[in-house]
Amino acid sequence: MLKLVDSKLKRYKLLKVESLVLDCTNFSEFKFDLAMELRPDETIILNLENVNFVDSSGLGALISGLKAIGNPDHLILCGLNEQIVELLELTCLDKVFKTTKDYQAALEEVGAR
Amino acid sequence: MVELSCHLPANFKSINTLRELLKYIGEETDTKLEKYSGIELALIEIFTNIVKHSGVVADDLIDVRLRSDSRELEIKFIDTGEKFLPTILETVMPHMTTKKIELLPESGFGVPLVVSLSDSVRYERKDEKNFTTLIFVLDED
Repeated sequence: MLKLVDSKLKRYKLLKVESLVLDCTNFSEFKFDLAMELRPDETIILNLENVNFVDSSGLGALISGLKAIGNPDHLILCGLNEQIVELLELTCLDKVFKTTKDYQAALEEVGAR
Repeated sequence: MVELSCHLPANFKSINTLRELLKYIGEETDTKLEKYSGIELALIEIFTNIVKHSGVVADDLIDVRLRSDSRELEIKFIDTGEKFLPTILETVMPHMTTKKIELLPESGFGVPLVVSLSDSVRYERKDEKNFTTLIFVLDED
């Protein structure tokens, strides 16, 4: 359910979630797929523009990914719709996850070339 | 006033049907329920909670009843699972800290989210069944 979009960047990896939802039906698959993509000292930009719904299981999977990465500066969520933004705000995780409007803004955030 | 009821199998495959029920009742009451994104999340969180934690098995049926006019939406879940603790609705949102991400909880958000997103949540145990009722007050257009 994760697609590697850009493999040419050094020290950054853009992954796009291809599913329309991240919830109780597929959070385990997401966790596994993300774990397979992690590399030491590499920043993940996770594009969620296809995702129109995240529930608490999906949220837990995102937290799990962040913990596996180990550094909140090395995971950037982009392309979040209103529902996901609201979910992060309700759970105060908007203070934990780095987020940008879109992929280009994420690249600017990290100064990637 | 529009009322719908449906017996759904207690598994995650029923979630899409839940969405369809919500969409249908919105159409029948001419209410743009999609602008209330929290309703969908609360509905799914309660259903998921019943499936995961009440002890029901996949073939058990959960009675879902929706009732709405343009001002209020009531959604009731009736299941035959184990009794929930009375304090369940007092569960607080897990505490987040930015300093030690390794300590971040990965679960426990469901019920606090439902309480935050709903205008009223009620639970009672009656006749060996759990009755969970969510009420949403809808803005007048």
